[in-house]
Amino acid sequence: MARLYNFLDQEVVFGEIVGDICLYNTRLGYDSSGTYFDSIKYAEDHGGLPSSDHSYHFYDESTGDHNPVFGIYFMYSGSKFRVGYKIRHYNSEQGYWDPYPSTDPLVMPWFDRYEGATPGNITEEDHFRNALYFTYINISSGPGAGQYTEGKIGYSLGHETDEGAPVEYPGVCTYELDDHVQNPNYETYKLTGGDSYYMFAYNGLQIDFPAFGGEWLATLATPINDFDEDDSIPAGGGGSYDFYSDPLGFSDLPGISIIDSGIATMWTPSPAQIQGLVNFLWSNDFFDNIIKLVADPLENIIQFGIVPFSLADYSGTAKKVMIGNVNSEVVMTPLTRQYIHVSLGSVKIPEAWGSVMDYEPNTKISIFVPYCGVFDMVASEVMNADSVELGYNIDLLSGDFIAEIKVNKHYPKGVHLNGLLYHKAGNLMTKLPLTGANYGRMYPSMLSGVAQTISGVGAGSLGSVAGGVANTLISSFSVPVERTGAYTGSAAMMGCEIPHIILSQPVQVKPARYNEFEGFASYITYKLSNLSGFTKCESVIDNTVSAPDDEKAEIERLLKEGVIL
Amino acid sequence: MTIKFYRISDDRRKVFKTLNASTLVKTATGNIKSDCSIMDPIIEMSFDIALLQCNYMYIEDFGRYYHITNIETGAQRLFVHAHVDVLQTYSREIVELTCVIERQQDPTKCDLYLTDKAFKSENRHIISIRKFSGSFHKAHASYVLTTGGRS
Repeated sequence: MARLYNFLDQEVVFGEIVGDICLYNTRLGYDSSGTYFDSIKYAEDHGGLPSSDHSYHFYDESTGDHNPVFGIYFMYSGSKFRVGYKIRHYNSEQGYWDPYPSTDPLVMPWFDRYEGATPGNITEEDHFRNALYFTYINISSGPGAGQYTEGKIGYSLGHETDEGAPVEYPGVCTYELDDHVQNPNYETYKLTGGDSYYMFAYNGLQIDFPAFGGEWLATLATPINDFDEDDSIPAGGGGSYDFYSDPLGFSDLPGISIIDSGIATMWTPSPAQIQGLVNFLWSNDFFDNIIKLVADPLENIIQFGIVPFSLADYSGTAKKVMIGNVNSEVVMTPLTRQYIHVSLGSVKIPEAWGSVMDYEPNTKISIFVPYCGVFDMVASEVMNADSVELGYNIDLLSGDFIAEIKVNKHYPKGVHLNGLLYHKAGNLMTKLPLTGANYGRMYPSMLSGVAQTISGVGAGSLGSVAGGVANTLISSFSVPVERTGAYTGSAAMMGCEIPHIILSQPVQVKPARYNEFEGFASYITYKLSNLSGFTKCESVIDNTVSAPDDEKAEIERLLKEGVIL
Repeated sequence: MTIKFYRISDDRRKVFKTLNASTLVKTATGNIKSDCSIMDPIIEMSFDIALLQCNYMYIEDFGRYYHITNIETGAQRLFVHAHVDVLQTYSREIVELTCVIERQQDPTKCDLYLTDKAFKSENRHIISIRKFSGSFHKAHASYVLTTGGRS
């Protein structure tokens, strides 16, 4: 259902059947004594406007306000009406309503003629458009009389009209104008189409209608004949022209981790330290084996792998590694963080041609994201950007990462993009088995049983992520020397580790002095005296050459074919 | 009426033709043939072989410049067919016109990002690589070991 708003930005509810007219009375304007009612001042003094009134006469008995400040208008075109809204204001110094809207009219879309309704059978949903569509005014005296002597406002439903002129509707419900009619004088003013309209101002209702004997409808931008549902109507042009772009930086890392929970400890051991741990795990000491059988140390190896960068920046103070309840006596450097951000720097992709050749479909751009692959990029998004940055948020526990590509680019008209445009997920950890021996096969039941006896670190009691990894790792022991988890991490470790842009740029072919006889696309308005050389005009804005029509036409033709200035 | 005959080599599309002493061949008098338009006049001249090499003229009485489109010869007479050169005739006013320019010679007056048939390319492309300033470093790869419990 259509909604209109008055100048205080309050919604004006059309749809209420009030007497014969479907309108809402805002009761602004004159009061009953003829004194101008300053609605804005009233609203300021009283914190709002007077309460709404749906009285039969559009008249608030309590305040006596009944002159219009806002009004609706409609334009009739064949089978449809356009309904709009205007604001007028009273010129207290001159003592009349200003003849022109104080703001541009709010033009509503065309409303379909309501086919099915009959008097007394208006659905609530269709109140507005039906009542307005069939509202008409019949005036007994002509516009030249200067006085409004008699009139009626009514509506009729379901009747056809003759295009171009209003017709009387049989069976119309009428509303006779009465003492409440205010400001009865005709006023004429121009709408945008330039046609004259006579305006009838009545209380909260202001209706523009054509002079009788003239055209029923103003000149419209849209065709007025043969309106169908598919007919195009004027649209667009009301954009905000706001191309503001919020900055969007690289994603934050999680604030908590498995390290904080105490469920697991993460290490960045040296090869020698790993060797020491292996020696501990697989030592032949009988006493050790007894301990290991009771509390299997392998149950507590949640993850072991390689990441393709130094972790020195994330290392803590070295300490002894506890494998379950067993002190391995092996000293390692613990990691202080489970999640890290790694920047892989930035790249610039300057335009090669400085033209449309640098953009699609002429130029194609791809990016190689290490441990992820090659992906297409949209040339217009990254070409000529101040920077294209690549950053990884990495989970060192699993090796999973999200690679984010941030583009910093300035566009014309002061628009600045600085945000994430691409997000790619992958895994960069090469998962390693800690041993070739199949301990899972040797002690399956014991592993399972013992694991659950280890408080807080058994496979069944680990957190969801760690638990899953632990289970995977344990099960992998059934097949010795087998990589598990993200295979891509292992394969990618052997491949390229440098992110890079792959450009496929065209080889432009341009004959020498091409611009001197063909020029380049301009589509800019210029005074010809500011140009030189070959010039082809799309149109002449105002042909003021003082020549006979034939010569004038020839000038225009030659300009459109191209001249040399 | 007085007519100035020129021999010019300018492109017909040129607004300002090269009209000076070096291109002026002859100034002569002639009569306009009746029943012809001012845009396409036919001028009757006394035979003068010098006029046969002219391709441009200015009729002072008409205040117009003309391209000579054809010259017919008769008995001791020449009939010069011409078509008005509106570009030169109204050149001063034309350059004062404001237009939406479709194509222009000067690239600085153009929007080279518009789709333009002028930009043609070969089927072969140039493939190049631009590396990011950073990378991973396998040479400094690290072990990551995760053990259960707190050590």
